[in-house]
Amino acid sequence: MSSSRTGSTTEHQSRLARRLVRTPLRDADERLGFAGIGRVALGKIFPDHWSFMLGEIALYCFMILVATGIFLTVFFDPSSSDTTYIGSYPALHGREVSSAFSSTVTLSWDVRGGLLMRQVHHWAANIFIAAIVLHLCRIFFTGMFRKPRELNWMIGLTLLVLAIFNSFAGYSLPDDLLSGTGLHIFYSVFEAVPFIGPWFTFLVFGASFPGPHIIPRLYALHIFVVPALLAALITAHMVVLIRQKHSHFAGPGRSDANVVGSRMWPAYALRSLSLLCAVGAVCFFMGGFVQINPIWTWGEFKSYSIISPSVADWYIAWIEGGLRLMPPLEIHFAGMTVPNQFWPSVLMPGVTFLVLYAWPWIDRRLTGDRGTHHVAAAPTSSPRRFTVGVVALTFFSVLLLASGEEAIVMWTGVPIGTVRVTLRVLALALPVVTGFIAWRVARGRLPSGEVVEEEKEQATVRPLHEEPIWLKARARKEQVDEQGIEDEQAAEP
Amino acid sequence: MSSRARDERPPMGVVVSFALATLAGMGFAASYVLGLGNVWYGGLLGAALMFLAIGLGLWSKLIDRASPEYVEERDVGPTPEPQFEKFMDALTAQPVPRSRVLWSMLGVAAGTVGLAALFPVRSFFPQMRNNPQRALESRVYRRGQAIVTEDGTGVKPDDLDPGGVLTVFPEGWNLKEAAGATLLIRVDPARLRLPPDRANWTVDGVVAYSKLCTHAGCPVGLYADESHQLLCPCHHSIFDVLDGAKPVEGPASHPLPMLPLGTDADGFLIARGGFDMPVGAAWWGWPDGREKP
Amino acid sequence: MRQSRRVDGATRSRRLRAVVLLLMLIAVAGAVSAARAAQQPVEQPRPMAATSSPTPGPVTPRPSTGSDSGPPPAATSPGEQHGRQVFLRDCAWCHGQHAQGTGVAPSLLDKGSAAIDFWLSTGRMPLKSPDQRAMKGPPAYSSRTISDIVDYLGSLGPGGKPIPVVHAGDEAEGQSLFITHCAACHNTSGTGVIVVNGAVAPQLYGEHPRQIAEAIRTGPGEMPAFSSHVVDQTQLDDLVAYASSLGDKQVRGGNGLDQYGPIFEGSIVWLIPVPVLIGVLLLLGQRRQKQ
Repeated sequence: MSSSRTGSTTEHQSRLARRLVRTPLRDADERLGFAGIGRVALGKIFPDHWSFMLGEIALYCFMILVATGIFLTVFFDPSSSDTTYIGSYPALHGREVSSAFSSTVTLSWDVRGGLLMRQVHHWAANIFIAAIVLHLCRIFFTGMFRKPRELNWMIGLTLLVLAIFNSFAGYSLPDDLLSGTGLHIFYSVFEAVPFIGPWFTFLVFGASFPGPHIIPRLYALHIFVVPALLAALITAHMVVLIRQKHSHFAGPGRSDANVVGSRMWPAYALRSLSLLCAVGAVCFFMGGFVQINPIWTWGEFKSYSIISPSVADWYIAWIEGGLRLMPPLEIHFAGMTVPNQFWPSVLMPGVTFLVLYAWPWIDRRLTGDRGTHHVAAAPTSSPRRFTVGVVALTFFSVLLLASGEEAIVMWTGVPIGTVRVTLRVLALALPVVTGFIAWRVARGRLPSGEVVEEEKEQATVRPLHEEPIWLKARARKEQVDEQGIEDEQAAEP
Repeated sequence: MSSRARDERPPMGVVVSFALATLAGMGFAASYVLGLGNVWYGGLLGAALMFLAIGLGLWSKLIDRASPEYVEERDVGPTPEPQFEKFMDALTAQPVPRSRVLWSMLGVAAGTVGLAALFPVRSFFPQMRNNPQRALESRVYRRGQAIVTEDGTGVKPDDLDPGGVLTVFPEGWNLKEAAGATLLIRVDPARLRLPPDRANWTVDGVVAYSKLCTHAGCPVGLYADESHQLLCPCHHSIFDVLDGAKPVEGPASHPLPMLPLGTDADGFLIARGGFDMPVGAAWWGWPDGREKP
Repeated sequence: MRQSRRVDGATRSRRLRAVVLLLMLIAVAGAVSAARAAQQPVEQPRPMAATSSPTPGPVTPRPSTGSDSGPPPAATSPGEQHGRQVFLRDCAWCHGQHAQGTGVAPSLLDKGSAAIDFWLSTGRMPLKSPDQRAMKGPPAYSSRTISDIVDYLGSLGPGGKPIPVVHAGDEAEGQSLFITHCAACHNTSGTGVIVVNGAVAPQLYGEHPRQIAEAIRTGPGEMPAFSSHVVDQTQLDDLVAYASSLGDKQVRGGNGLDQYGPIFEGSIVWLIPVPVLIGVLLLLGQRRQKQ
């Protein structure tokens, strides 16, 4: 390769780049003047640690959910009114079923690519919530809900609640035998809401179970209200994140006063785009190769029929596990009743999320740490927090296991009663065991066995605002960038 | 110069990945046109995205290798006191009237409008005169009401084989409503262990229970004929059919409601009253104890 | 404050590329193979422990006729003669020489042809020992021999239900009836599930139509029986038509995961896509820390 050829290629490339990139950008800048802030954005620092990308999996799942959801909306008919199914699924041909069910079977059997979109949508929803839960665990164990991130912790929790609700709503829409049963359980759960139970239930369902209203109502929530809330809250989550900047793990040169990692452009952008494609690949492989929720095989919902196993998807199934393990306890007083399902399906999730929302403040009481933190803690740095987290995860894992009772019975041959008693004991005993181990491990890893509960040093966050914030940020960014460029040039061989 | 030339040689892994992504993308389009089916669509689109991910990932690794780790100062923190005071000044620069009447009238007006805006929620209820509590307490059957199958035909006790089970409803019931589901089960009359006041609630060993689980309302569909037990597939409550459908295991805390059976002049089964208690799960406000039907 | 570093290594990049590729391939292969493994018929540790029940209910009343004494009854036709021989050799151990039942096994006199044919032709009988659980399997005898035994036992005691005749039925009507009568235990997909006392409603993939009809009519084990008043002949035909379509014919979207529902689907979520994506993160999101 001759040097002249290389040179001409470079010149040609730079002309092309000018025409394709610089000119349109310059045109836009003449109108919007974004170059300053754009430069800041391109230089935003993302920490180099895999666990900081868990939330991104959730974000990309959300994008896939919206895209596939739009496709599904076009074909789905959210109505409980009867229609005659005419289509290529032989075991339904000519039967009177609800429009919701009929249109979902048609979508799955007769709309090209419809089944793929349905299955990708369902798998993506499962992965979406799994990613949120993992992200939540990472934030919890590294203490990154602490000041100043309490607000984002609560936004994140709300996203989880909405994601679970919306997935349940979507699961209930096709009006098949499995989803109808799930709705019936929720009807009973709503009845157990303290004092207002029956009124609340009729407010939601509009009639005795099932009534004709619930599917249109869930549909409005599922395709518009909740996704809009999710999108708004995801935006808020991002805005707060950008304002506060990422946290990062401890390391040389890292402190509460800076953030160390890769720049957004190009390193992190490529990384993140790659993740987007990987999430898409996984969802489409799953949707293509593994069948999920074959509603035509479950059959249409008949309120007097049921299939077994009758279990919700995993993100609800921990409540189902609780419902199964709860001993028969119903309290009667003054002509009133506290129904059995109240304890595991109203009280337990209620307390769980209440504690989670309040956790930043509970954690302050537990650790005595009120400082501002931007360096993520090692999970074992606070034995109390670590133990609480491990205990909770163990407990919910046993509940999730209980939602698969029938599979356990099938595989082990142990009678259902024995399995249930064992799981009841495990639900109470196993958290104690794992909690004890967690406590010992975390204490053992504290420096020199001291009873130092926490790093109590206050963060050294410097109040730096003399000018409006974004101007200040831009000024500093320019400084950083210039140094960065110098550094790159110096490093060039 | 040779090092520069090497730098400009495109990274083969990335190029190959993008080429494969292109092929897979074309494959997806082709499979879609040809209507090859779910596995092909998902597999090829998944493969296209996978190769894109690999290409971009490898590319990002090349950039990682060439670029240093950056550090950025964090400028989030409390605004210095003087700045904050300037903000407070801006907030209160224009004089705001301090009249209590003005502020409280604003509160009253806004509160009223807000409350009034909640009134459309009323439309979510079916009919306001229909108290949910009363609807839930329904005993479903009237005295003398015929018992019919899914397709509306009457049932005689002998229609059921010993050990047989059948889902039935009050005559004229809207099958879309869950509350009417009733289980007829035929057992050996000699083995029934019903309390004396219910001895005449059965006909020829046929017993009738509500099909809705008293725990969370699922249809208790699994009847085990040798054990004479009903299992709810949702949360695995088990009821003893011979013993008035009392719960023997699991979370259900009270028996399945029982229906007093009789026969009409033609020998068809009828209800001699409603269920002995409300059907389905208990609710907050559920009246404890059985009342006479 | 600035850390500049260069991660060198063509080796590293090659390794990385290989790992990324490998992981992605594992994602695909894993999804297919693990799911296929799940589709293997689930072992049924305790199916239909029927005739070993020590407390015969109204379905299996104690024989009122026949005693343990006296020679085994003779057979008239050559077929019944053959059936008698096999019965005395293999079955009389538990069911008694007169098929009158013993302490460990019920009488076969009033069982009827449908029940006898069901238990023998699905391989659930004979048992090697009375304490064994009846399991579905390959039948121990040829269909000729089974029909001889059925004939012989039929000649001993009338009663019970005859082997049902099955005609072509309507699959769609069949599914509706299946949802009403069968889905609670077998699932509409026919995947089967636990019942009580260790009994299992078996998976119904690839069952013989005659055997399905026999099971509906006679209610083997914990299964309730459905009389011709509850399920008439047309409905029986429809039910059998639907039940015969269960299994692979119902699977449309890739691996069927045994059509077991959310328990398997939820497990798959945490076994395949989530670990794969965490693997992707480990490859993508991590730079080698400065040594």
